[in-house]
Amino acid sequence: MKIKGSIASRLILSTLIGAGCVLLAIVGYGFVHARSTLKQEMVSKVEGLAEGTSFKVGRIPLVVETVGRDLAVGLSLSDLSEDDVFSILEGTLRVHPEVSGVCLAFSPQLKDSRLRNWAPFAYRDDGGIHRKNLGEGGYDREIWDWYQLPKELGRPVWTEPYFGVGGSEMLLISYCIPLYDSDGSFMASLACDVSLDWLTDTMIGLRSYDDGYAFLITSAGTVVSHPDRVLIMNETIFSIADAEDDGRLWNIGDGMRKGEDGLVEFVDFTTGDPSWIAYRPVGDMGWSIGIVFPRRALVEPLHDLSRSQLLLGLVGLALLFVVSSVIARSITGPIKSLSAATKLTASGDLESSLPYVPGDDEVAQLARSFASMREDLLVYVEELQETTAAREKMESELNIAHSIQLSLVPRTFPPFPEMEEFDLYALLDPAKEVGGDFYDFFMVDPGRILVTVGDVSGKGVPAALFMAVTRTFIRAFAKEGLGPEAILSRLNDEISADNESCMFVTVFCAVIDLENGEFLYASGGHNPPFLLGKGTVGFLPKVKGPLVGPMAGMTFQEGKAKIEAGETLFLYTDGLTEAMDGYGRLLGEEKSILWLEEMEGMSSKEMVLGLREKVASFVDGAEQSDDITLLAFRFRGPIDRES
Amino acid sequence: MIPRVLSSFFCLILLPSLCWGSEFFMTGVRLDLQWYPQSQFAGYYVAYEKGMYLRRGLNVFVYRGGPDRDPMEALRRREADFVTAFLTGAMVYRERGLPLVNLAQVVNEGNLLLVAQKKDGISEIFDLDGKRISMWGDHFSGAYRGFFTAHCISPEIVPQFYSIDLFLRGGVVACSAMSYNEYNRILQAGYRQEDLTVISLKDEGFGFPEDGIYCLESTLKDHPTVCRDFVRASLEGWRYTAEHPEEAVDIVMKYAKRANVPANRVHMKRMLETILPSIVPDSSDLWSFGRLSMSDYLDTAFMMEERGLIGKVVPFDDFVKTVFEDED
Repeated sequence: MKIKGSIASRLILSTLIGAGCVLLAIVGYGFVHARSTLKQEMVSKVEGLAEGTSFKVGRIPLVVETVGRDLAVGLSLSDLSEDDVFSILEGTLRVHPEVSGVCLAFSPQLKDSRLRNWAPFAYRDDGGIHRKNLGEGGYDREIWDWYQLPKELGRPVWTEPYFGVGGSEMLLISYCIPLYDSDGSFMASLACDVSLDWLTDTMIGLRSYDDGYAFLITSAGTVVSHPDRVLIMNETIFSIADAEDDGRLWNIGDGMRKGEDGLVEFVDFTTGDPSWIAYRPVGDMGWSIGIVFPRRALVEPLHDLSRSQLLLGLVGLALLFVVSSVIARSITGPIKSLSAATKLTASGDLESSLPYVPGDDEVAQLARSFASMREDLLVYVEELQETTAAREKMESELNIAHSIQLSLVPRTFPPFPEMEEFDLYALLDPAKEVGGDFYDFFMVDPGRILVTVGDVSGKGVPAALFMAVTRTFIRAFAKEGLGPEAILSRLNDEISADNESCMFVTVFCAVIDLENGEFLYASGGHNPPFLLGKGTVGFLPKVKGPLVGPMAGMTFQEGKAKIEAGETLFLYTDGLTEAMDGYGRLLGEEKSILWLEEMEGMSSKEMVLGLREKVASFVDGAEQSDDITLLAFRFRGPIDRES
Repeated sequence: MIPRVLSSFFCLILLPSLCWGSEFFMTGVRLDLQWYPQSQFAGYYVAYEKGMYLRRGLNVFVYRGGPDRDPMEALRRREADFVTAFLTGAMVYRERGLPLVNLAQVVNEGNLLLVAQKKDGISEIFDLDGKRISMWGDHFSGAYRGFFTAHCISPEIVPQFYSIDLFLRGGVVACSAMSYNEYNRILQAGYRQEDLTVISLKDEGFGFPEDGIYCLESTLKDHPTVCRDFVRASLEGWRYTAEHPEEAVDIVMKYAKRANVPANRVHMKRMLETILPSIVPDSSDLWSFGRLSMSDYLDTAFMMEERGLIGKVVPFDDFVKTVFEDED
């Protein structure tokens, strides 16, 4: 299960769920354990009750059976007169108050006519004992169970209850014994009647136990004692089962009818409550007693126990809730404050006060870590501000340098529209960090042009200024009529003086005679230019020359070459040959030469812009690492101006 | 010792003060039923309870029967005006000189059964041969004896009276039973239908009409209108009973309780459900409601004669006097 929400609510909920489960387990175990214990007690109690009641109920019939058997023996043994028989019967009633009547009914089929119509009957009525001959007055004894059952079954037997008459009409049962003559032929039935009133007295004594009750059924299932008096004699346990459509009750009745012992759960047909019933046979009557005990008598105290346990548990849970809330707050409070402080910190307020968390627990450690982190952050931010300021300064310097750089190179093309001897185009594409490239060209005199390309070491404004100085010197020395070698020597000497920062510049410089295309050139550590002839591209022969600026008194070799009409002198800085693609591969001179070969016959501008485009596609979006400077001087040949 | 149903008042005496004014026009008649208040007599109790007798100017006194009370004796002594009786019983009494006539045949089909336990090895009629069975004697025995003869079996007969205890205690393997009474009492004593072998005499061709309404010839002669009205009201009671069985059972239970007679509602309901098809015909029955047909009468009479229970057959028209015509 995943509990969503704050740590506090998760902590409280988890604690309460865990504790609740434990509580339920304890209450459940207690309930089950107590129930089994109580059930055992109840089972013993109910079984004891059933046993006791069975004994109590069976006591009177047992007496009656004894009386009947003794009487049968006494009457069989002697030849008695009518009056003697009546006296014996009456005497029995006097001695045994349990017996309500006794009758000796001779068989109407006997040969002896005196006996055929004789059925002496002694009975109680109005507190006295009376006698009557049931063989007279149209009373047909043969149709009654008390006479017929012993006769036909050939054994003593208890009748089902019936309404008798003995002066007072009441429910009776009779213990009947068949008597035989010396031949073994049936002679008479002896019936000892017992009023069922004794049952009521016995059963009333059983109402003492809580909610339970006892009932009695006969061998035919007839209810003869039950708290619900409507059932008595009217219903059998089976008719009730039938009416209730209760198969279980039917089976209980079947067990009772068969004289079995049992203890089963069932639904009490009088109350509809789940109950237990214990049943036992009563003596040899074929009767059975059922003791019914509602389950709620067991379950209610259990429920009370469980209820109080649960209530206590809930109080405990409430306390636990309070405690866990306090603990959770003590944990989450500082975290919440920290969270608020974090928001403030995130919004840039690094000076806001931090919550104080005492102790050395995880939250305190977290708070300290956070404070330490914020201090580090403060330092970092300060550093960052400084760095940013420096960078901004640098960037502004670079911007100034760019401006200087770009303002110093001529950017008007064609530069000398009246000069048709050559076609010149140049491009300076500064990188982010200025390398201090420059190019320049100017007419030294009407017949000669100076072209130069340089690359100043260092960055920023100093480099830009260095470049400006370099350019100014070159222009000044050229105006004095110096050749390329002398220009570079002088330039080197001038620059190296007071050059504490040890800056230097690489320079290529050529002075071209427009009359014949001959030119002198010198190089101070600069890349050798390309000379593009017809279909071929080659390097201008190298001339020796150190970097310009580090040391005074250096010498430079001066080269001499000639450019034919249609050829192009192509100057560049290392920004071209060292252009780098995304994989760190350099463009190199060979590829530059190949591209330039493909551009044969193009104008200077097309050549410069085309090459720049190819370089751009080669680097394919990679950041430009150095300035790229390209200058193409295409010689068209001398022009006869005078003509 | 002398068994007797507890009832300080055997009869249901109608004492409606509203009738004092019309008592002059009321005819007091007495009806004696064969047995205790039970659904077998639901129609009469319903007719009484619902005022069907009163509406016809009859102030009826209903008396229960029982082992201590014989309606035929009451009729003989002129204590009862009308009685209900088994047809075979009525024939025997007529034979014995009681001049009674059949005014209506309420139960037109036989409900006699023989019930045995399968555990005693009885699963069909022939298994009863030589076995001890209890059987009602007297006029009831005709159908049974005819039935035994037809199947060539000779059971050992033990007399059976009102009780089925001898059967329940295993004293006999089978007993007589009315389908609507003893059979259900056996079930209510804890026996399952599947454990019992039930032989219906009607299904075996030995079903005879049972309860009818009887009076003396002289009563019919002197009070034909009273007889007609009495029978009409009784049959109306039966029709109402068939249409309102639950209410009828309630009424029967009320009178059973009043007579202090053991009764339970399930038994009374079953009794009514079982007996009604033999009282109210359906479309497949060949007999009419309340009428005893000549063929049924003669079949019964010849069977009784054959069994030696009656000496001669009384002509149909002398015995059967159907006095009711359909009312508007």
